[in-house]
Amino acid sequence: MNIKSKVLISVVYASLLSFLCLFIGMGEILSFLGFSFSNLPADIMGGFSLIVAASLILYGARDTVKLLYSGLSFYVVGIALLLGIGLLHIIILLADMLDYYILCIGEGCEPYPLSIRPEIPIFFLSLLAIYPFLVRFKFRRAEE
Amino acid sequence: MLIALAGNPNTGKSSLFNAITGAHQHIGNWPGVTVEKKEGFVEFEGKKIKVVDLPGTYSLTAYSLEELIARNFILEEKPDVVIDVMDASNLERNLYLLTELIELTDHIVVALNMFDEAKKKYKIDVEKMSRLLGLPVVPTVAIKGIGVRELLHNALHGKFNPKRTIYPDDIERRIKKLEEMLENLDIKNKRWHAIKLIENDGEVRKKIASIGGRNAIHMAEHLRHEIEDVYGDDIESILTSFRYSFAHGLFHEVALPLNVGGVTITDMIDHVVAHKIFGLPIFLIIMYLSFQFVFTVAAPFQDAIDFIFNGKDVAAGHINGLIDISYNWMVTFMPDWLASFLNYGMLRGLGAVLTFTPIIMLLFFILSLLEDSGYLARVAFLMDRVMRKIGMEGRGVISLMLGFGCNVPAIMSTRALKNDRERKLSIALNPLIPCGARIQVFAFLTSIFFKENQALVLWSLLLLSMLVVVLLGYIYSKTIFKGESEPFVMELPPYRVPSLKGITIHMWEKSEGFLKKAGTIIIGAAGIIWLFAALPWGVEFGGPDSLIGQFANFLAPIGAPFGITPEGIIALFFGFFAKEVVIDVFSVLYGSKDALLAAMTPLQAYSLLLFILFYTPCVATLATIYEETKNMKFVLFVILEGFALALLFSFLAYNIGLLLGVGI
Repeated sequence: MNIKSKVLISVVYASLLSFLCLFIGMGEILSFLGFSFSNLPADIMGGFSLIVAASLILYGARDTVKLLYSGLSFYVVGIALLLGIGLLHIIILLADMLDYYILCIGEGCEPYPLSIRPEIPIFFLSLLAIYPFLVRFKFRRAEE
Repeated sequence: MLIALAGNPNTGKSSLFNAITGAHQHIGNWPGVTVEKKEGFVEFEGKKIKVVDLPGTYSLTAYSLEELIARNFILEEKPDVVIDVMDASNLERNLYLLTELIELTDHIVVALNMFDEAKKKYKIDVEKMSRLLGLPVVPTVAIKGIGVRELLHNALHGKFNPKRTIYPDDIERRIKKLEEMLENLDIKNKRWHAIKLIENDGEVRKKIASIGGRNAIHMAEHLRHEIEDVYGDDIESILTSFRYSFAHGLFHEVALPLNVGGVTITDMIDHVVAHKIFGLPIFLIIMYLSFQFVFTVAAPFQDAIDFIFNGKDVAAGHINGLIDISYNWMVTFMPDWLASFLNYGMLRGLGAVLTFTPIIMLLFFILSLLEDSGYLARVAFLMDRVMRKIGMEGRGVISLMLGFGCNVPAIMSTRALKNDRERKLSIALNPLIPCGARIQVFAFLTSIFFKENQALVLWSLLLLSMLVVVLLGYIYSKTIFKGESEPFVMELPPYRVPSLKGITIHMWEKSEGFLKKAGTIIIGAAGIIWLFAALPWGVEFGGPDSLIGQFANFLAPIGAPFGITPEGIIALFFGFFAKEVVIDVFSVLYGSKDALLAAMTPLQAYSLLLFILFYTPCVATLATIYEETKNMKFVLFVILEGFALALLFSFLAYNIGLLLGVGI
């Protein structure tokens, strides 16, 4: 399989992931606005972050498939944002867990009620979409 | 008249030399070396001009013979004009030498040679480049003789007001210090010598040592180590990277690439984060995610500190904290009122402020991370784009951004603005940028009243402050501060993975002031507030008969339309001296978070936050504004501006909230 085909597969995969992010992002915003939405967290800016990241990937998808830098730039920053958001939520989960046990000092507490935000699985799913970045030296400028 | 041609190798310098001098050339060697020296003569507009072709170099360090010849010629022979011949088709790379030449001499004309080739690669805005550099810039095609007359004309009559690379404050401070030490030595261009000494330039060290400047050399070594420690790299790489940042920023401003070869990661990221549509949302997201990181990661540390100081109520009773333990111990050998004053006044005040230390440290950690990685420079670039529309550029934007740390140095940094109108505009807007102390107060109140949406509330406050700055700046620039803005090159350093050591040092430098303040003014303020709440002796602590209670009752009607409680008004009053004292007031008066939570609704808290966001800056900031402007009316203007905005937004938020039934 040549590089162009592998990039195409990555971009299709990332686009599907982006649509999922758009859906989750809108759900988080609607939850914040008071609509009950399949147990998604009520987080207006969290939702907005997912929507922007997904939009960047979709905006750059077409030119990325053509192996053009103009598309790859958006694609890479979009994926980087999804990774950043996911990483942040992993750190938040750990900090929240630590806080829970600190507040438990002197009291008999239940084990930490683990609840995983959708951004965490998205972090791992995004890792699978970084192939175009790894072959960025094969890309060219739009005007060439 | 003497003109020197400098430039990178293969930029068409010799062609230009030939085009200028024609057959009137003399070819020899530079004294003592076998490097070719070309001299020629030309008569132009009635003047006889001697032209010297310097060896081609990429920089002006002392590593190669060519570099030494070129820079020594400019330093010693002091040509009337240096023409920097650039290969315009490799503009960004060629700009680096210019950043070094500008440190050496003012009289430079930039020749954008091979301009015909360059046009196939970029669209270059020559006029803008000239304005940003403060130097004449002339497109030339030397092999065809195009632009040569214009070049010479500019060499004779051009205006030279070059914009130099400005290193970060901490480096500039050290350069200045060394420059002052060189004051007594018989050398020209002391700034250049100071930079080169800090850069550990062997030739300059020898020269300074030979004229009795050993102390300066020792000082330079010391300063160099300090800089290297802060930036976690060797000095040459550090200074070089700032010059490249200048070159990169200038290139971004003046050249629109059409079809260049390799693309760096920096180029790719810049393409998106500086994008006119996506740039702003990405910035807003990064700001929000940063706050979320800060608040969530700080929470366990805050709770731990809170537990250490205040203990906690558990099912089995109360676990004593440091304050209770200390009180119980002190009361055994001192009067109750004194033990109470020391522990429930001062120690509790200190505890309340220290609880927010993790937030401040993490906030500065994130800020340092964004700064050292190069992203903050892009934010300044983005802001610059918006602020240009209100007639403020470059350094004014940087001064505003410094305001997020502390308004005092931010206002002092406006000294770098040569344009008085822009300087006053920047000073007038600066207090509307929330400083670290205000952000700390926001963190305190949001953590109590908006536990679930802490980051969102803080984000909304900062966004509002930025919108107000832009809007008010626009209004001011069309009314009271009309005029032209000073051109400025925004430096764009390449992105890099910051070193943990560098970030930690930067974080510590920024947090140090806060911790010192916590140990002095804030503990003292807590004691004073405790006394106001306890006096006259025998009344209920903080009750209506106490001094503070009477004061609160007197002020109560003022706060009512804004939903601000009498205690809130007292906090605002003390906040005038130092914003962190607001935390002291609430901690001493209410004693616990639950009591504070019961005293105000979230809507009232938000209204108070808006008031704190805009109302008068602290006394130190006002004193600095007076020092910088020597104009009491201007200081009053800043105070009134702050109060007017605070009253407006607080009133609107509270009353709209009441109408909609939100947060009550």
